[in-house]
Amino acid sequence: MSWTMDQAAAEIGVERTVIVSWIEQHWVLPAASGGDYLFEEVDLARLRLINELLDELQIGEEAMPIVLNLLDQLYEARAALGELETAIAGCSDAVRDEIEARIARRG
Amino acid sequence: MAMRDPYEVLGVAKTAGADAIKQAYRKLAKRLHPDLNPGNAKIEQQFKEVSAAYHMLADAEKRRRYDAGEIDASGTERADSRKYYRSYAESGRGNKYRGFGTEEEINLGAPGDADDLFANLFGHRRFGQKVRMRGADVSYAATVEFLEAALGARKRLTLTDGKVIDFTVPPGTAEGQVLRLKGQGFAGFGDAPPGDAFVEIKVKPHPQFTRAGFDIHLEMPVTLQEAVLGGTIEVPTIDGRVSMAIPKGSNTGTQLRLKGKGVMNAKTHLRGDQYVQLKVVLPSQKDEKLAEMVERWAKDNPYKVR
Repeated sequence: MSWTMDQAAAEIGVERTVIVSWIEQHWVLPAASGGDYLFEEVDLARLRLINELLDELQIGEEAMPIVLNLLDQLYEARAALGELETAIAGCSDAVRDEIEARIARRG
Repeated sequence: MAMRDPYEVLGVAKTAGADAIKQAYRKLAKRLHPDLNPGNAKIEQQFKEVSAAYHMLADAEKRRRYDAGEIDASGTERADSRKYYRSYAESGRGNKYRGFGTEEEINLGAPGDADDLFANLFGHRRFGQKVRMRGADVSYAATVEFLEAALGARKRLTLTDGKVIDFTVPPGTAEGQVLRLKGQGFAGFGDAPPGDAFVEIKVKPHPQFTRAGFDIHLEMPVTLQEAVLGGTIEVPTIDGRVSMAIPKGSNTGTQLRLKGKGVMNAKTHLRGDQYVQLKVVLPSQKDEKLAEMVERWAKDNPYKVR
């Protein structure tokens, strides 16, 4: 499912110009399609998050790039961790045991 | 699920005003927002409870009905089926926001190229790019000094996300002119090219020079003797100071031309001219000798200016 600029603005409940300014600041990266933007589900969820950060959580415009950047790093790390887990799950028992033992010994 | 008393959930008194309720909610939301706590189901549940409590108490009518016992706390529980950003961020669809705003993204334009944990661990690339899409164009505005626009300059634009764009302001750039910076827009997806950046130029006014097309205009004060007797004065141009001859018998409003001292016309590669408008300025202090001299001279030389 995808949304045009007008649909996205209505869905989030902000003006088009507000979303345009977010795009210009690279806070959200919708695809361009025939002179309009095309928001996918991930983009829409991100618009909603940005709106909540600004409106309800009172994150200022100035701090927003830092917050988004840290969140993106957090999600990237979590995604990598998830893949690592899957990869480890596919290893032989001996390898899994060894990894587990090494993690247990850390610190 | 049995709902707790919304006042209790938000930790506010039954008599709390709308502002206090909003503040209490914001305080909790900062801690409990699910997108700030990925992978924590308990916190998500807590946030839903807080959110439902807030939405009931923030709505004056619902709050009144709850207070009057007409509805219970669960009566307003919204079917909160929305998906949070975190549901996408860790899946493949969040890829384009990886390495957000880092330098690697600017240079390579490929999402996921930045600090990839797996690349560091195992020394190989992880995310295959299947989508191919040209990046979006993007518009900015940049303010430049009058002389930078006239003579050309190298400028740097730093965007909010930390991306830095270097670009050239060509000589003779005019107010409102839009420069197209090829490939400086959003990164493309897959191996598709990035979009373009469009920079609208705003030119700051100069204390002395004004511009009309490719010509420069300047008002220059001259003394009485320079105007009456002629002489040579130094005049600023956009290239620096030059000498200019003042013809004998010049006046306020006399316009002199310095050929080729205007700005470059990019199409013809010819420069405009600088026009210097003279303004005769009398001595700032009262001068008795001058007064006597003019009095004597005026007797024989009446003239009309109105």
